Amino acid sequence: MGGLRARLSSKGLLRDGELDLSGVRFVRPGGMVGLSSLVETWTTEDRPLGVRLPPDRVAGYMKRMDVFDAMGDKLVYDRDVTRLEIGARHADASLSELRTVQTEDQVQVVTSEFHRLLSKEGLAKGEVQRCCKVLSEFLENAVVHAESLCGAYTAVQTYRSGGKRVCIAVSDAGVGIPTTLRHHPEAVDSGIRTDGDLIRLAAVDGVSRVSDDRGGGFGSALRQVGKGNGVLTAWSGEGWVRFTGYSGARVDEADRFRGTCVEAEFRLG
Amino acid sequence: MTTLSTHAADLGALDDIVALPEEGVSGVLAGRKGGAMERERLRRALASLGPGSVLGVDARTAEFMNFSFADECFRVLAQDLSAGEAEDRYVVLIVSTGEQEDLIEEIQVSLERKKLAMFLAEASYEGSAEVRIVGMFPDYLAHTLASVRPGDTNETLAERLDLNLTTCSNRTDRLAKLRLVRKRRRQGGLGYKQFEFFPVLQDAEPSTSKSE
Repeated sequence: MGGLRARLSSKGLLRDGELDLSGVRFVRPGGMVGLSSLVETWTTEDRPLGVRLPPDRVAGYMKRMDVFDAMGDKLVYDRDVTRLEIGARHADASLSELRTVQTEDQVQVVTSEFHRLLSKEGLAKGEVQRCCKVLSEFLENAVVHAESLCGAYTAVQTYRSGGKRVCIAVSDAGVGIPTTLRHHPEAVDSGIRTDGDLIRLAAVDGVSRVSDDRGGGFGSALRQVGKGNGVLTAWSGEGWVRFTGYSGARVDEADRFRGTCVEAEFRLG
Repeated sequence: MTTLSTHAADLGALDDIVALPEEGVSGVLAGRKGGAMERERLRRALASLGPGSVLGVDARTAEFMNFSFADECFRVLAQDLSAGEAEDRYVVLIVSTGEQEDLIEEIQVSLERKKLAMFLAEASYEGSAEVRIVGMFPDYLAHTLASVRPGDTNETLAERLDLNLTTCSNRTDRLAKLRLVRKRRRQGGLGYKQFEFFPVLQDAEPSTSKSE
């Protein structure tokens, strides 16, 4: 997700009306789901977006993750993706392909599938619970609150990098957290205006665009991040907030992301 | 979370037990939609029971529950009961001893944020369970609940707890609203109304309490 932010910031992602992925050397779930959401906002039904693909090794990995299937005919590639060799797993990674989720019933189904998948991975019961709580709460937020026509994209991956880790990512192409909370009484009363601070407000228990009786899903996900000594990054509008269990929230500005992209990472026992 | 130090409660004495999730349904419980559907099922089960009945909600096969599900199912149900729905009917959530802390945590948080509470029975084997209270349940209420004996009035309970009558009435009223004690009205000796209180789980016989 950080790589996607950097490419967007350097104006290198969209070049001459083409999506330029030629410099991409590594893909993480957050970047993959975030890119998928961006593509949704950049394309229209009758105007597919041209793509300069990354090197075969990376493009093959994206093929393995079903990125090209998920994008359908929204993209036109500079190479024949059907001829790509399916990429090898990186660093002992096991993975779940890019998925789209559009209804609350699908949230339930996908959560069940990830629960089964992660349980089979040999993760401790607490780790599986933690991952599924984060995943299900953000998927539900995306499907219920985001007003995202494409629903949500999600991907989960376990891999080794200084120990075993798990990464969970969810993204949508909706209205974004700041838009949903900008006129919330709590934001107005507290003078909260920046997108980053509005994202931070979304994590406060009981703050919801719907009613005081709702809210709590983001906070629940953050509790899991705290318990698992993990890191959760949320990007929405021009806000970029990094939450950790040990040092709270760090708010930054970023290039505009239409929708919301969230990535959580935990070390595994 | 407050634990009532009790005799083991007899789950066999419950008037009905419904499984959550239903048999044949996934044990992964996620989302408000699913939570609302299960809440409606529990509501129907409660309505089908007679006054004074206790419904057990057996969640021992649930593998996973997220906050949204817990909030929509248990918090809303507890809120509705507290507001007077399904009068004189009671709910006990049943979980497996020491194995479902992740699930209990979500119910605890969802109830706590609205100052609600529920019975939670940790069942080590069929028919017997240790009873706790999940949600927001301050020590003074736990102490009062543990002191209620069948047929107590506010007067007798206030005297036993060395409280003034108003304080005691406020506490028993709160416990009754949370459906943690049974409250029955009777005509007092001088013709005015008087309330009597009874434990919900007769076999639990709460005596002392401790808080975690």
